[in-house]
Amino acid sequence: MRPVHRARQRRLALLAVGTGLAALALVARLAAVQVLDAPRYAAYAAGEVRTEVALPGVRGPIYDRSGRLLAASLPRVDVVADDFLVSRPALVASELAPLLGTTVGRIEPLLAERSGYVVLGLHVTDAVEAKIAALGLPGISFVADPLRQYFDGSLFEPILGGVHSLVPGEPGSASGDAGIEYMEDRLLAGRSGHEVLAESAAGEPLPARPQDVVEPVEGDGLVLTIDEPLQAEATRDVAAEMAKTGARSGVAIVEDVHTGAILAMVDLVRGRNGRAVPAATNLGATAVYQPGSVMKIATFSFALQDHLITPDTVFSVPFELSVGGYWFQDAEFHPTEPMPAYQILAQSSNIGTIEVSRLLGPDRLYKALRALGFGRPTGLGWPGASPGIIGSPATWYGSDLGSIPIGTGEGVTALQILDAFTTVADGGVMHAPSLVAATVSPSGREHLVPPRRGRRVLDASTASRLVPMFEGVVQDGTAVCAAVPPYTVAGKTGTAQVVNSSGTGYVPGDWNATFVGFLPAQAPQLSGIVWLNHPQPIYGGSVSAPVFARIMGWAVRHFDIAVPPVRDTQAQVMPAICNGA
Amino acid sequence: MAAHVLDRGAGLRTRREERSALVLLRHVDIVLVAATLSLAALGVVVVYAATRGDFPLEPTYYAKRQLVFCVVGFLVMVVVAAVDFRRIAHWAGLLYGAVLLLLLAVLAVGRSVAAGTGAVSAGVAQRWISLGPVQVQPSEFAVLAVIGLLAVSLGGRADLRLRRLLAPLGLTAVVGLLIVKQPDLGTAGVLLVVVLAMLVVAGVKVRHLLLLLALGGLAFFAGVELHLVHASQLQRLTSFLHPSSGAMSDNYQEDLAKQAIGSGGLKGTGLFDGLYTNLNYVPEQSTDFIFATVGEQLGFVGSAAIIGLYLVIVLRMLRAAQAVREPVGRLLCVGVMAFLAFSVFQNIGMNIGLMPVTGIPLPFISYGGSAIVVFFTSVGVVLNVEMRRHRYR
Repeated sequence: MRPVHRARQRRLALLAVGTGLAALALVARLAAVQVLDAPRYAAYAAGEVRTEVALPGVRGPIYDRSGRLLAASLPRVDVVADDFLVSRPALVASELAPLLGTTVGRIEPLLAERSGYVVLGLHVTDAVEAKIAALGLPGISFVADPLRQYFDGSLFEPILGGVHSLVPGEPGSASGDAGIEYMEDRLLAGRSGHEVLAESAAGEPLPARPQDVVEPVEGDGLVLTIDEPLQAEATRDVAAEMAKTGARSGVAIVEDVHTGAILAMVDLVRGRNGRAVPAATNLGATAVYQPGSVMKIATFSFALQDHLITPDTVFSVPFELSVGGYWFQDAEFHPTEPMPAYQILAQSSNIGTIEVSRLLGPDRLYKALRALGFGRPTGLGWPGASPGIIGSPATWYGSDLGSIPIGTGEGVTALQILDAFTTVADGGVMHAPSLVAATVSPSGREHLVPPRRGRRVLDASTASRLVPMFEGVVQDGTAVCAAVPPYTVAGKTGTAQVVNSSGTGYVPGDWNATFVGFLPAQAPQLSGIVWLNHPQPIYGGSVSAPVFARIMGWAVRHFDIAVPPVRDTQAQVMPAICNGA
Repeated sequence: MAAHVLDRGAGLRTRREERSALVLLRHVDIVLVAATLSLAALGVVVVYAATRGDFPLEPTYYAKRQLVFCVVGFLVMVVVAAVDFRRIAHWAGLLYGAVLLLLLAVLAVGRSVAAGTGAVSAGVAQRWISLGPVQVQPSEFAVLAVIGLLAVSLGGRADLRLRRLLAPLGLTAVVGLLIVKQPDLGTAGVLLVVVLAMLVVAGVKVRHLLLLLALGGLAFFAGVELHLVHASQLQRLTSFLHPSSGAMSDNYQEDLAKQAIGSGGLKGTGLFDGLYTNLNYVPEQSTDFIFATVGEQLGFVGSAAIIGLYLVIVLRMLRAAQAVREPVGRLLCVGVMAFLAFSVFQNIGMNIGLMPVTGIPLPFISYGGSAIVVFFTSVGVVLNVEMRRHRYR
């Protein structure tokens, strides 16, 4: 054999050895993976098909005070896709679109997103889920996502609020975003559970028993203090008055005088088409405004309480008065005249009220405001509720001693005003307003939420002397249109300009009109407030008082409230002009 | 001098020709053919196991196509084996030119096709061109063309000085660069190993080999520095060196493939029973990662047996190279052997974490027409040379 040939044979042998070593390396490595490490990889294999699935806790239902269902969660699923596993987006889209009630054009691009997780349909019913599952499409799966349904449409929107999913298709992520749903979220939401399932990469369940199951806990139900028929009636009445007067917004709240339970809470705004629509928020609890004469309650109640006046104490009341360098006037011109306290209130004399307030002085006026709940939370716990803006004697200007007693130097909420009057109606005891009457466990057991103990704010004698003074407002004062014959109504009007956004003046032609009152005055059962913004005419006695009368007139029949004997010599009547004549 | 015999009805044939045909048939390497066909048959079954769950296609869709590829491949192998390799060697330049044009065509009008599914996708390597209804991956044929070119260039020379190597190596480098540009680093790697093996057997001096290796290394680093090799490709090439201790690391495909193979254990989960395969966990489980299906369902025993079959094929090819005195034929055998052996090593190696992940099919088993035809052709070349080893000494 020639040397060259031998050399080549050697090199070939070298290649053979190299090949053999490579084969040996493969087999050795294979043995390491398949024999030595086999248990570890077998464990991975088991783990690969185990997937933890969240089990959303079903949100508790919400009822009105009579058990009418207002909100409930319906069992639904979201249809989701792992688009990496969808090899024929057009075909899959054409199969799913009719079942999901959408178009191929909407679904197909989602399936080509290359994101690994796309939500194709939200809140699909069991029947549709079964049809989609029967198609056996790889990459398509379902995620439980109960649908929150509200049964009275928009009637309770500002009160109930709503829920939203942080991540659509992600179970357990739905939470209350406003209103009662937000305020009582922890109670309503329940607790999500989870379980470990065997599931294919395509998201298809494999036949295996769920493991490590932690059952979800259904949320508690809520029984509200709200009365659905009264809410509907109040909504109709406020909407009608908004249409009639062109008001931009309307608020009405009705309370049970003895508990502070809110029976109706209406918040409407004028929509784009001019019709009244539910406000985005609960204006009654969150919107601060300058209410005008309804704030005179603070001056009169504590002037009486501190024995500075009696209802008959006579004051010399001029048409105008300078306080702190600013001139204040009554609504209509009159010469300086003697005026008893009850008449000052009935006629809503600003100057007379300032005169009474001077007897109180700034410190006692401030205490009066605080005692009646202004400048502090109402106790309802409403998310975003305002305590109002009343400042303090240390921060008040000289003119505030004129403006604050007549309700033009502070900002308060409608609910605070109503609570102050409800306090007078209940003999001087202030109740924190409430919206939740009871909770209902998932098993259906009802647990009453006991009314919180009231706080005595005024002496009973003070309250009993105040009530007839407020009756006079409706009897022959500024609120004759609030009368609900044959009941006797006590209350107060308020009319004030809207402060501009910089707080340095007023918006020309923009007024807030309020009436707040209670009935029957002799044995009060219900209290209520109606506040309209930017109505025409502008007076609380002209626009808000009639709405109060309509709501309360309906409510007393609805709640079958007895007519107490009239203690006054003269029964209240509603003049024909109040009905639009 | 050829003696004439009377062949009734068929005219005159030379005795030598008749003897030659018989000799040729007698020298067909039955073991090589049997091992090849065994692997191809097994490939059809494994392709079926890996693709039978592909919605919305019929369960046998890919397996049937693979069977057709194998039949076509077998016929091509027979044709390649039948025509004298010396005659084919004359066409080496032509084949090289055709492949070069195809590679240039890939750059111009090539498509990015997700292997196995046929789905056109963006952002992946551009390796395929459409020839009518057929998708062709020219880089796989390019390796064969280079083997032919080098065999003719190196086999015909007694004197292998360095400057005489420049022309064939330059032409090889052009093909290599076009393949890298696609980018198809796997095939480029295979090409490198093939060239090295052929240079070694051709008798190139060791110091020249070392010099060429050094030049190759320099070229690679220049490519990295000039960003001809992307950082992501580099990371892919090196990430297998740093396996994660956990279930998953950066090497997603490799991790899943390893888990699938590892979960097969000693005996495997049984044909058609593998969890990873049946749930489509391993990407490209019918093409580049089909060994994951093999490992999972057939276990260590089945996998080792398949490696054994490959070893049989490679050793038969080496045996042919050893038996053939004719230098072009010998180099053809060595080139084809290196091509097949390194493809197997690279593919199985990347499935079990021994090699970086590159797009190299497992010969005769991975789904794909181009690869099947190319590897059958390779076997045909070896059969061709071995059948005629007595003719050319």
